[in-house]
Amino acid sequence: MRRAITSDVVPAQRSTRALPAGHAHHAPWPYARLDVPALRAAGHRPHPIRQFVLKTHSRCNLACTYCYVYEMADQSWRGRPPLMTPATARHAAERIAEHAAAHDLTRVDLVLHGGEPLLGAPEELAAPVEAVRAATGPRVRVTATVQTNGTLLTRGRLAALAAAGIRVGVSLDGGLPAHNARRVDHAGRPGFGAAARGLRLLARHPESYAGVLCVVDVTQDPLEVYSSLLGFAPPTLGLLLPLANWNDPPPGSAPHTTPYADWLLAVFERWWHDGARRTRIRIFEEIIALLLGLPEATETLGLAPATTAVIETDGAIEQADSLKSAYEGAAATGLHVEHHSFDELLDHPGFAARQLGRDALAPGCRACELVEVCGGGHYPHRYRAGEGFRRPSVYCADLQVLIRHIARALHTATAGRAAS
Amino acid sequence: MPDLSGLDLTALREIEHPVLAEVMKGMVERVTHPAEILNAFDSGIT
Repeated sequence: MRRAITSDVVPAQRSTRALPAGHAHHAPWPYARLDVPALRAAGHRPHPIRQFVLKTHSRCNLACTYCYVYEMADQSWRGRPPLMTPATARHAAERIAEHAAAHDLTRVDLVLHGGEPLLGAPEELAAPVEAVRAATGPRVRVTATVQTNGTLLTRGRLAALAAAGIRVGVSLDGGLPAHNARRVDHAGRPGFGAAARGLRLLARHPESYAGVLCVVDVTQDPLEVYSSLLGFAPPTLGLLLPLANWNDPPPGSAPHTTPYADWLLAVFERWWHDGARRTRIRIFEEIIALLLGLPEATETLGLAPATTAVIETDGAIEQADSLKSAYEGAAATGLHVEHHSFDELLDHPGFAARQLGRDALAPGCRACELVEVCGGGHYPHRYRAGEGFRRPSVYCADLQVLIRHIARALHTATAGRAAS
Repeated sequence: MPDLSGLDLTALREIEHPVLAEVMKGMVERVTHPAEILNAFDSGIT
């Protein structure tokens, strides 16, 4: 019989390292209930980290009202240096190379993130990427993307980023000013005009253009948001559910309604029945992949293990910073690139819990027929204060409607035409 | 839930559904190199 390591009655975790204060209080699962040494003794091997988010600049020229870095529970950015120093970038590069060598990785992905990373000069962005490439050597392929609000994109910056092999993703909440009313600068002035200029410039450089991230606002017309974003010709469109949890529910949500599924399905129907694929829409394509039994390529769906680490400007190693929407310090690990390896992160209870797949989920989720597709939903969406992250997603009803609709659409499109 | 098992993924790339055919063409790597697929960070687009 399998040893109990992840049930609700397992012994308190016995890691010898002191965890940052508050984790066990806010999130008994996993911090008081997951026994990582027992997990390893039972044969659960960790999966190496393959994506590294480098917080190269911790400040932003915008002050979006829903930002998880600045406007939610965690305010740790206030105590961090604005910029990652060259010494910290060098330590990070050495740790990434150490991890790649230890796990025989042939590829690692870097995401340059903030704050607003373009507040730094292009050479400041290129430096950590070049440091990782130098440290890992020629047998490891290193890809790099910068995620920006787009307001500071210029021809010169784009050329410098392209020369450094860094692609560009832009965050924007729609293609019209009204869609971006929440994306304002520190004086409350709209950021849309500058972002639109940056995106038009980027659209002329498809080799550098990774895509657009858009947080769903259910008060906006979905088809207007979608069609206006197509005006910027994004190769990929990420439609993100707002960061929310059981204590801080999604804007516009109410019992027995599914406003996020309704919004997304309006876009899906337009996209699915168009005469050609105008852009890749990540959430729809990931659901299709999972319905067909293919591996997912996003942390928000499916049961694959988390393999992303964040390195803050001060060198702190953290978990995905979307966790900052849950509680102060939720992403913290107590680890630092100067003193700790990424293998130590793999044994951190918060990280180990995200590599357990179905075993990490609430009982109702484990028994659900959609679990292989939904995977319990995005980890921060499961949070409830005092319980932690072993709950269904606060978007459970929306995800069910969305997945079932796409499954029916796929079935209709393929009926009798592609059976093996 | 409809039964989607038994679909021929190669045939889906040629299906007379322009969006699905494009989606499937983009998933060749998932079929050929599933271990290489990155379960990527959602707050960035790569």
